[in-house]
Amino acid sequence: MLHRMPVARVRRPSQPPARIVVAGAWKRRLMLVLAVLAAIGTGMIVGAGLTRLSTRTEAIGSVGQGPWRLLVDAGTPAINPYLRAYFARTGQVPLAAAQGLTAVARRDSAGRLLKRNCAYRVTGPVPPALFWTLEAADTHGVPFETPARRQSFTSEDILRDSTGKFAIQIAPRVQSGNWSPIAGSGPFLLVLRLYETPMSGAGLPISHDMAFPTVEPLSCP
Amino acid sequence: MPVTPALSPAILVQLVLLTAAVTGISHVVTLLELPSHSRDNAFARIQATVPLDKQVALSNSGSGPASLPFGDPAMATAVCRFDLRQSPFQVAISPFDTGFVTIGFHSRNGLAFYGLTVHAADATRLDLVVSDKSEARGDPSDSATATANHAVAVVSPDPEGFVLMSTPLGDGIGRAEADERLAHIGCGAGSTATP
Repeated sequence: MLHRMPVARVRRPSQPPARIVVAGAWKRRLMLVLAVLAAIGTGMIVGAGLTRLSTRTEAIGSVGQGPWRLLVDAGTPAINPYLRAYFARTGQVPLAAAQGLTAVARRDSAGRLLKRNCAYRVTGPVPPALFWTLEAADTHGVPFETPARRQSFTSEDILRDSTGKFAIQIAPRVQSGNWSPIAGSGPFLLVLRLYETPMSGAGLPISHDMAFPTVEPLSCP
Repeated sequence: MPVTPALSPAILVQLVLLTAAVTGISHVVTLLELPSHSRDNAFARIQATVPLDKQVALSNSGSGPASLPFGDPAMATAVCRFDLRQSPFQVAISPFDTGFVTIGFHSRNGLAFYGLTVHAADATRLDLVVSDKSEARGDPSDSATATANHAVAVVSPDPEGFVLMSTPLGDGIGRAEADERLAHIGCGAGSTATP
């Protein structure tokens, strides 16, 4: 008599069912696709963030000279792309190379941020130019509206000493001599514009021994 | 039983490289496209308030309908906007008595493509004819070339743009006198540019 032996249905652990293999592969592919999309999304956001961060000021694309950043190529078709984007974000219009050169100071000569509650002294010399102006403005480029009604000094209306040198006091309170009032709180900047200067465009090369005004802190409560 | 990671180390490295590459591409593209697409750039601000081919005085305070940030408060400034697809554009400078006027030509995408400073001593009329690249004649390496009638041809990289003109205030020169000096500069479509 033949006895039918019971067949044990033993599943081999090394060979999972086909349905589970397919599900695992599908899951891995989905994860890979999601990871690639996340990488692309992250890259786009970080790249755009880097652009925003790098065009907040004129720091990239300008030339440092003491406390000043010189916007050397701003008025030429060869303008640095960071500087061009910075101008586009802020609505600024650079001086064309044949018009002159702009220099911006956000820090004093010691490297500290310019603050509106502090007093500073700006002393010459100024590079050669037909005409120059020096303005204190807020970080959006808006000059200070104060009762003193003085928003800038120029090479023609500044008081000089007997040797031809000058000093401008940038301060919230009244100062003797050339006083440029500032108001409010927070940082501010100085803008020096040199009209018809041989330094702009393809003129004189900028060298570190070129004379620009110093910005000394006088007092800071 | 060991758990197999969903993404192998090799794939993770490739994902990091992909992120870095996309970051770089995104940074370069946004940086280069920002001047053309910014709603805050100077041309967009001027376009909103300044009609074509007409000189408009800008406010020095940085606020108000016709103003630009980072303007020089020591200068009186006026602007003319042009669109070469609609009409030719010309700047005509007639002699004035004192001081100087500095003039900058700018494309809508933020390029300063020409500039000059005119002094009172330059006692001759000067005409500047703006044309775009398709109309330009002469030496392509020079953005401004003398034409037969002694006008200066200025080649704009863009059909749209604007011209900013400034003259010093102070030292006895008030806003009215400065505006009068700026009125010696006419701008507009061809022969209408006469100041």
